Amino acid sequence: MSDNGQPLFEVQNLKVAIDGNEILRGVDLTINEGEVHAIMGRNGSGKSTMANVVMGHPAYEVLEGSVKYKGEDVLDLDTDERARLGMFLAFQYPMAIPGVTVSKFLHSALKARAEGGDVPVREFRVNLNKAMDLLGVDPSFASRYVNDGFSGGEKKRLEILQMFVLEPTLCILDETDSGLDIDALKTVAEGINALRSEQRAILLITHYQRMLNYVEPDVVHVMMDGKIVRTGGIELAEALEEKGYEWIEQELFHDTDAATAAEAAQA
Amino acid sequence: MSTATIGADAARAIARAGNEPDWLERWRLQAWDSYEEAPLPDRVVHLWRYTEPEKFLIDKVNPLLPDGGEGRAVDPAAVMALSDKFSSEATQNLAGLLIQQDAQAPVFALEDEWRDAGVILCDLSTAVQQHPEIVEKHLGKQVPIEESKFAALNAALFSGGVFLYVPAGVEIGTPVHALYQSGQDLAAVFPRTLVVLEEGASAIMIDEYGSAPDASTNGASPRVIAHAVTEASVGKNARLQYVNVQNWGPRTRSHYTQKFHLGRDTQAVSVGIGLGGLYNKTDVRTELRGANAYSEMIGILFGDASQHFDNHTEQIHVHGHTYSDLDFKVVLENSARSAYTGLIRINIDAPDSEAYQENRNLLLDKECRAESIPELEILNENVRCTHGATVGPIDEEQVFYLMTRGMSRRAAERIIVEGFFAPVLDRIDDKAMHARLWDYVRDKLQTR
Ligand SMILES: Nc1ncnc2c1ncn2[C@@H]1O[C@H](COP(=O)(O)OP(=O)(O)O)[C@@H](O)[C@H]1O
Ligand SMILES: [Mg+2]
Repeated sequence: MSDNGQPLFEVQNLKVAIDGNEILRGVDLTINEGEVHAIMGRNGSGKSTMANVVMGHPAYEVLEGSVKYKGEDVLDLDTDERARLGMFLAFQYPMAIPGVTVSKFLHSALKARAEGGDVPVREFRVNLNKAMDLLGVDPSFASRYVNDGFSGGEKKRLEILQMFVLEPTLCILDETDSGLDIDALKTVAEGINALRSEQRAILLITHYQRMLNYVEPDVVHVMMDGKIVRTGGIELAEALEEKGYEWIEQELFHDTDAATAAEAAQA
Repeated sequence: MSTATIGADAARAIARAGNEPDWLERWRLQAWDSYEEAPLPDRVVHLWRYTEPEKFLIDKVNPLLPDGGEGRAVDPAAVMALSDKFSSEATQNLAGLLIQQDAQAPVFALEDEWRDAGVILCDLSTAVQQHPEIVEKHLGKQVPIEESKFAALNAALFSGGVFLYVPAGVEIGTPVHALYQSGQDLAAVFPRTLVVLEEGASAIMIDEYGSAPDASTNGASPRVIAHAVTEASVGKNARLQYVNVQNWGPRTRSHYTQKFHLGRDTQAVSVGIGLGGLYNKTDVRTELRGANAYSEMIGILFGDASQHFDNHTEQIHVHGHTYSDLDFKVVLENSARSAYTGLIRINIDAPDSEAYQENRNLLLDKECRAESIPELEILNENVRCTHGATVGPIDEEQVFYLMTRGMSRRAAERIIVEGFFAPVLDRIDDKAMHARLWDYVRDKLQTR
């Protein structure tokens, strides 16, 4: 619970369309401070859509529902306001910003958050170097242009580096594990674990169970076709790994059958 | 009095006030006649397709006449004290500087080291008194009267001006900064710069045009028509880096002509910074006239409000084994307009030359417009030449990415624009100059 007794993050009956196609069809999700959740789901099930909508991406149309952060509905807030409240998204496909160095980018982001807009350069450099050291990235990283010509793994590390420096309260990580070799995955997972804390909540979006071996979630959700269809513990991820998504599809099919049968019986 | 007599009288008055030699007075009068006789440029001819030449006529404003004072050499601190432009750290290590206000006689200063080495930095009026043979040899050679109607106008009526001469083998490692400021309302002004680098010489020069409101305008920016000219003669094996900063006030119409002739084994980097002015046309040409001549023409332009920019460049390969590279980046917002036309000409007897041109335009608003038109006249087949142009809006995905990090839309746009300009400005290796140019750009970005 956050200070005001509300869950840190709460999505209710979220329905979202893009270009007139309904992609999220009623998502419900509650995450409390200190918790780590995972959302698993096949490609195209709507995971990134949810992450983008939560941050206010302009291309999506919210049809219904709410997204609350510390009890406040954020759907009317601009993206930067949400970020300054403490929400953060590590992108599945981070954008390149040619001509802008990592260091300048992060310094600007910090200044945007600081009261009075001032972040002393010295202090910033010290923090940045510490974070780079912890994540095992080369110091030359700071003077490269943001994601410009970065390998897949470098991009993901930069997302985690940003999370370290900006210290958000709600961290949504969209497929941060994909495209990483095992060593890189371990460093990134260590980074995420280092950020776990009583005050912070982490939402890991992934379609592999692999990452969850290194960052153990408290709660696992399965998203399918724009809805959360199952919620459970780590055993849900393990079952998925073993039996695949068809298993849930079949169960759902049976559920629907049963429901239809029940309705038929009532009639 | 008709404008014809006003102009001829003015040209004569300027020549007399400066005690100029006969050849210069004759040249001025001839230039005035040429200005009067030349028809307005034909709009159909591509150079004027986007801009109305009438806007640069001076019949509704007063050509400023010199006050009769003489250019003065003073110590650098005294010159710096004249403008807050020199307060930044980036100007601490200048080799020399010169300030001209309206048509007043300039003040200038040059570090002893360079004066002792034979470098000359002064106004053109002083130069023509003290070094008449050098001035006569070079003045009006690259931008002659015949260049254009408006180039002739500058020749007739310029006063003060900038003269930088670097003798053979002298390499000035730090920048020379010249600042021209207009203040008087309803004025026509004529800045003129002549740079001469002898064999093996090198120089870095920044030429800046700006406006500072004076008493005549009640604090508003003066209404000015500016006709500026820069010409540079770059001797064998010499290196010139020349930066032209157009920072005129928001009620200035500016017409600018720049021509460089590059001899054998020379290197010239020409940098254009377009920020100010209301209605602007610039015409910048580099001619590669000797083997191994190397030219970079780079520029950035940031237009807002209803600013109009018409930039034309020419990369003229007269000689074989020459290299030219152009990189021009434009950002527009509000209802600003930019038209860019870039000619690459490689003459038939200029084989083994390379010419590159790139112009990219970033549009921040729906109302702004940019055009980009490359023109190629490649008469020799044995060359390498590429060109590219893009015009497009800001990438909303980039903006979103930055905003998810807490930056406002404005801040996100600003950082994207800075990143867009960075590769151009990063080509400038002099650290102080690099920092200085960023100051100009950031000053304008801050006003957003
Ligand atoms: N910008 C977009 N334009 C059109 N369709 C989109 C867009 N973003 C997502 N979609 C569609 O929405 C569905 C869900 O995509 P996405 O949220 O990326 O899924 P996931 O992240 O689970 O792989 C897919 O069918 C995808 O094609
Ligand atoms: Mg996705």
